Amino acid sequence: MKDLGNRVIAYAAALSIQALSVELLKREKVTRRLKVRLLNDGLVEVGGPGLCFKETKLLKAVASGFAVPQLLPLVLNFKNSLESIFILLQIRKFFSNKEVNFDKVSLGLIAGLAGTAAFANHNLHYIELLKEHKDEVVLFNVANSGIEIWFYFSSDDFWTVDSGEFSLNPTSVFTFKDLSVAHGAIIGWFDHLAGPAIGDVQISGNLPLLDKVGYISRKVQQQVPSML
Amino acid sequence: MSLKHDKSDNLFARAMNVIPGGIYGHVAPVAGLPMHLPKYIQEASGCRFIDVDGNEWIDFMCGFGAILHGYSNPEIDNFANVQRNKGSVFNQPSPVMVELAESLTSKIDFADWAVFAKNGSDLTTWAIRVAREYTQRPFVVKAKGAYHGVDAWCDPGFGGRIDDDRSKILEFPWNDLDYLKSLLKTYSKQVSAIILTPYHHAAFAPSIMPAEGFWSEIEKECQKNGIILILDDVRVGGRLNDGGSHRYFNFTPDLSIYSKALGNGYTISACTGKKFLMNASKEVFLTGSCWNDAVAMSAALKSLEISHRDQVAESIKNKGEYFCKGLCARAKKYNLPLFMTGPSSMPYPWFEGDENLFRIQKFCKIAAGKGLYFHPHHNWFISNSHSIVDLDLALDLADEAMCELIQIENS
Repeated sequence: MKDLGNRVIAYAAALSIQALSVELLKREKVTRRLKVRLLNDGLVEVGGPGLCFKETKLLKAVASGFAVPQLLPLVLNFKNSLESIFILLQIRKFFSNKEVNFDKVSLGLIAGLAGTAAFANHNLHYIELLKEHKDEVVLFNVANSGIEIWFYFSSDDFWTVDSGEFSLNPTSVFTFKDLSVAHGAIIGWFDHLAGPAIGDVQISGNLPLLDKVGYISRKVQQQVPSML
Repeated sequence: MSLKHDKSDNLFARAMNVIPGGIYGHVAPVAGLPMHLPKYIQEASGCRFIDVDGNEWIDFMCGFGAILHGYSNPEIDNFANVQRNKGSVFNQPSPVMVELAESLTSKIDFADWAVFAKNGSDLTTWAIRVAREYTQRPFVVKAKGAYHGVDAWCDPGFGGRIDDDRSKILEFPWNDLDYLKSLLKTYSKQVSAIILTPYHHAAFAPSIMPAEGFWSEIEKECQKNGIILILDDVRVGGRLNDGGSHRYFNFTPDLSIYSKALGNGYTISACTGKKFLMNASKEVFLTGSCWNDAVAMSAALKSLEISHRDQVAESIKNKGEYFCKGLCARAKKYNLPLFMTGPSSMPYPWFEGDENLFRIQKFCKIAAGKGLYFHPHHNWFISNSHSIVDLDLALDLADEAMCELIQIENS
């Protein structure tokens, strides 16, 4: 794990996209995952050779839905680029839906936690903050929805996000009352101090770890643009 | 049993609009059991309180340690009221400030002087500055995970800090003297102070008593390296020995800080020190508009008197032992591996194998439904107003809670 400095913001946005593509691939909604890579000169590659953005453009694309990619690599790898763009559009479709539903909330949580993982892996302060918790597993779920998202330190030595069934027991559990509250949290309407006190969420287990992950996720929310 | 909480919820809803987070800090609901422990308290007396919805609780937190002689202790309140009728904060201190300083220096064996503030944090931070002033050295050593207040050099939160805030703070694991010695070697002649609590009472973890020889080694290292030994006796002070916790553990600090039980709920803190630090203490600015509060000082004066007269530390130790043994015996009945860590008068409950706290959280939730205020993440406190009748009732209710816990876990 290394400190990426300011690049961590674009990297967090990119990793959110990657995590979303992985999730949609699991659900057979897209044909492949969009692996992202930081390149030199402030560039980010999305989905293999071809689709490549300047970091500022990538953040703009996430926030507004459109930004012009680097043209030369796009032309040189036209087919792959088009596929990547198509997958990005598929992802976007889930977020542009006005209805608060399973897909929108589960994908929103995955995107947010993937960004959190990026900060936890590539910002010195947050690496330090979580270094004592590498044996622990946080479960984020939404009551009566079937949504279960896991945040844990993987065998690859990185904080990672996964969904669905999981072989480890959680050491902390954060349960949103319903889809609406979870959606509110994704778009920044959640009061982390008051939320548990009014029953919007239930928290249990190792609360100091939840506190830390929550703090990092709020920093991500402040700094990384969202598709929502 | 389901307790009423409508008024509490309404108050909290109002609070959310005008107070960040509704309730913040160590009493924030999020730090305990947000939907099970009361958010607002109406009144309290002895070892019981009534929340705003009229539910009565048997309390085992004592205002997070601020109450030693029971809530609304009539002897202390009456004494404080005499001063209240004269006034509390003036342009200049009142005579009671001198009396309180004399009382503290007579009761605390090493103390030659005392200063006063309002909170523990005020004076833990001031004390390390006195140590820096005296030694002209920058670094301060503390135990990892120890709480010394809300200032940026030591607070347990994450926000609003810059790297410089902690660049001169070094940490060692409690009881790990080898680690400490290696730190002192690395930072030779650069460490001004070692600040420690009498025993390790971190939240979210069992309390750890000092290992045999720990304090004598700490003293030795401080003397050898010219380091000021600061005792943060804010939480424990008055509960193990009315002359300060150092006497319980048989060592002598250079500075010690008291608050919580000092005023039995009246807002006051004190730092006492050895004579050789008096001049350094004069160089470190210390003040607050309400810090000369004569009412709180009167309460502290009476509180100290009662502690000494009634041998309160010994009394609550015995009550704590009675309660802890009773609780563990009842746990054993249900094959629950419960350990009460730390001193008996301020025990931290710990289920073996419950590193992630799920079981203690469940137990405290069930107990809350029976009107027992057990905190799942913080040490509990026994006050001198807990009678054997109160403790027996609490044990019976805890027994019921354990029975329900087992039923839930087995279902």
